Amino acid sequence: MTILRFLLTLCALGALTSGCSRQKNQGDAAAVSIEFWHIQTYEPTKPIVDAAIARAEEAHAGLQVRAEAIKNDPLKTKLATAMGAGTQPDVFHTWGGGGLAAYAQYNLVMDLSAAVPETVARLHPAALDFCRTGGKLHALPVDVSLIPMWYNTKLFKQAGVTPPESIDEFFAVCATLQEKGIRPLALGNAESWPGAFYFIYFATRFGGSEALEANRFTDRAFISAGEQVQRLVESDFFNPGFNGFSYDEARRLFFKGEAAMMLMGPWLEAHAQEEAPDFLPSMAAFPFPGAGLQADWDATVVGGVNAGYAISANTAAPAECLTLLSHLADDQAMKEWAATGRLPALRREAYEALIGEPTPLARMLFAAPRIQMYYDQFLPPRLASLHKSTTQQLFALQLTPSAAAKLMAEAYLDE
Amino acid sequence: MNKRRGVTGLLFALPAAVVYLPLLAIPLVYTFALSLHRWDGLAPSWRWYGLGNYSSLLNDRIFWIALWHNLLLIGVSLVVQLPLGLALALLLRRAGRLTGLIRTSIFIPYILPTVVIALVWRLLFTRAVPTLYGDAQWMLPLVIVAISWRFIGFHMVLYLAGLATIDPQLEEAATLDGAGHWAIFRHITLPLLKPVLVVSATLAVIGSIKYFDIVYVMAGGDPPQSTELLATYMFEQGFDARRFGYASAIAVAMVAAAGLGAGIIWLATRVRVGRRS
Repeated sequence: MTILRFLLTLCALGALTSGCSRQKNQGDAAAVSIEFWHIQTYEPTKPIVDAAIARAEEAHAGLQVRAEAIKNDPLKTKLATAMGAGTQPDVFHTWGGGGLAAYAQYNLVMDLSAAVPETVARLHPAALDFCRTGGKLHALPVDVSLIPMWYNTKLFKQAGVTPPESIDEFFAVCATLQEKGIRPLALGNAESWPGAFYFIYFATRFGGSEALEANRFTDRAFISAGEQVQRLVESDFFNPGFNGFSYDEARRLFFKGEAAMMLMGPWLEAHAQEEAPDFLPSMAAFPFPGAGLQADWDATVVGGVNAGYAISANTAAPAECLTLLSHLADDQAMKEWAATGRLPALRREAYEALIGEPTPLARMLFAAPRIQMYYDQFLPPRLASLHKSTTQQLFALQLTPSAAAKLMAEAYLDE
Repeated sequence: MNKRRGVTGLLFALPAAVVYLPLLAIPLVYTFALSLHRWDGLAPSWRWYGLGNYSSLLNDRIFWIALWHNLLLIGVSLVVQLPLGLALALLLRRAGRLTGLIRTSIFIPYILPTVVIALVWRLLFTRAVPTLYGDAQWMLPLVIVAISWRFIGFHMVLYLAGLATIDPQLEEAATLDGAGHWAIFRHITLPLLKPVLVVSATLAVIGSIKYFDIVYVMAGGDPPQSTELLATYMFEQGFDARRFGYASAIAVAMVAAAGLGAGIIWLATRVRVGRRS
C-alpha cells in the first residue's frame, strides 16, 4: 500500500513538472523575438552579422533577435534535425542548392520571390539562381564565393615559376616546385569538401557541368577528373597526411610558407587577415587552369553561395524576419563583406556603385560565363554525401575513378 | 518465502522500470519500425521499404568495413585494455606513498571530457607523426591508442574494487603452504576476480560495438573508411545523407551485434561454471 502511494506521488510529481516547463514565453506584447542561426562564428565576419542584427533591432521597435552562431557542419545537422521536428529557427543560414531545395520541396521555407524587390534587384543573377527551386526564390544570397588557386608569390619567385594557364602547365609548375624542395599544394581533406574542389574543377574542365545537370554520373568527365586527382596524389604534390588534416591545419601550412598553393575560397583571405596578417602581402590568386577542350568549360568558375539567409515558412513573425533579412543584405553589410576580402553577391553595376573598383575575385565573378556550384551543395543530400565520400576515397587511392562514378550512378537510380 | 521476496523485489524495481522502460522501449521500437521504411527526415510520412534497407546493408562494402573495425576494437579491448588494466590493478593494489597518485593519474583520462581527449591526441599526432596521421593504414591504430588510453584506467578501477573484496587471509594461507606468486594469482586471485572480469569484458564488448565519440572527433570516419565504425557510419547515413531508414537499419544491426557479444560472454561463463559444479 505504501509503495502504491509512493508511486502515485511519483506520477503526480512527474505530471506537475512537465506541466511547468511548458510555461515560458512571457514579456510585453509589443516585443517580438525571432531566432536566427548563422555560421559566422569568427572574426572578421561575425561582427558583420552582429551589426546587421543591431541595425534590424533599431529599425524595428521591440524586435529582439536571438542569434546563435554555429560552425558549418554542426549547423547542417542541427538544422536538418530541427526541420524534421518542426523546431526550426525563424531565420537561418543556407548555402542554397540541393539542401535548400529539400526544405523547399516540403514547403518549409518562405517564398521570397516578391518579398524584398529592391534588395533582390541588385543581387547577382547566378547567386540568385542557386537559391531558387521551381522558379521560386527561397533565400537571399549575401556572400558568394569562387574558388581560385591561392599561391605564395615569394615561393613562386624563389622557384622561378609563374601561374599556370593549362592543366599541363599546372602539373609542370608543381613538379618544378617539388624539385626545388617546396611542397606544391596544401590540402586538409578531413572534411572532404576541400579535396572535392579539385575534383569539381577537373570535371568542369572536361564538360562535367552538362553531365551533372543531365544526371549522367558515369560520364567521361567524372572519370577523367578522378584520374587527374589521383595523378596529383601519386605525384606526391600534397602535404603528407592530407586526408587526416583539417582545413584549419592545412591553411596553417600555407600561411607558414610550407606549401606553395592552396585551392580554397575567399574565406582563406579572411582567415589570413586574422591569423597571419604578415603573410597577406605574399598571397595572390589565379584561376584554376584550363584543359583546352572548350572555351566555356575552361572559363567556368567553381563556387557557390557562401552565406545566404532563408526564412522558415512557419515563422510567427514574417515581417520582422524580412526586416532582419534586408539588413543582412543592406549597403553596410555588403561593404563590410567586401572589406574582409569576401565577395558580396552583387551584380556588377551594384558592386561598382557601392564598393568601387572590382577586386581580382570580383572580376572573376563578373567575367565568368557560368558558375558551377559545388557538387555537395548542388546535389540532393544523399548524392552530396556520397560525392564527398567517393571523392575522398579517390584521394586516398581506395577507389578507381570508374568505380566512384558507378557508385554515384547507382545511388541516383536508387533514389 | 522465496516467492514473496521475488514480488517485493519486483515492486521495488517498478518505479525505476516505469521511468526507464518507456525511455528504452519506445526508441527501440521506433528505430526498428523506421528501419523498414525510407525517410529523409523531412517528408510528412515514411515510405514502406520492407527489408530493403537490410538487403542494401548486406551489399554495402562500407558497412562490412565498419563492422570489421568494431570487431578489431573489441579484440584490442579484450587483449590489451583488460590485461593492462588488470596488471596495473595488481601492481597498484597495496596502498603505498605513491600508489594513490599513480592510480588517480591512470583513472583521470576516464573522467576527462571525451572531446578534450580526442582533440589533445589529434594535436599530439599531427605534430608528432604527421606522416602517419591521415594515412589510411595508421589512422585506426592511432585512434585505438587514444581509446585504450581512456579506458585502461576504468578497467583498473573495476579490478581494484574486485581485488579489495578478496580476503587477504586466503593469499596468506597459500603463501604459508608454499605457493608462488603465479600460483596464487592463477588459483586464488583470478578465480575470485571472475565476476568482475565478466562485467568488465561485457562492458568492453558492448562499449566497443557502440563506440562513437573519440573516433568522430579525432577522425570523423576519415580518411575514408579507415576509421569508420558502425556508429559513425550510422550518423553519416542519417544526418548527412538523410537516409534515416538506412541509418536505423545500421542501428538495429548494432543492437543485434551487442546482444550477440554479451550473449557469447554470458554463455562462456555459464559453461565454465557448469563444468566445475
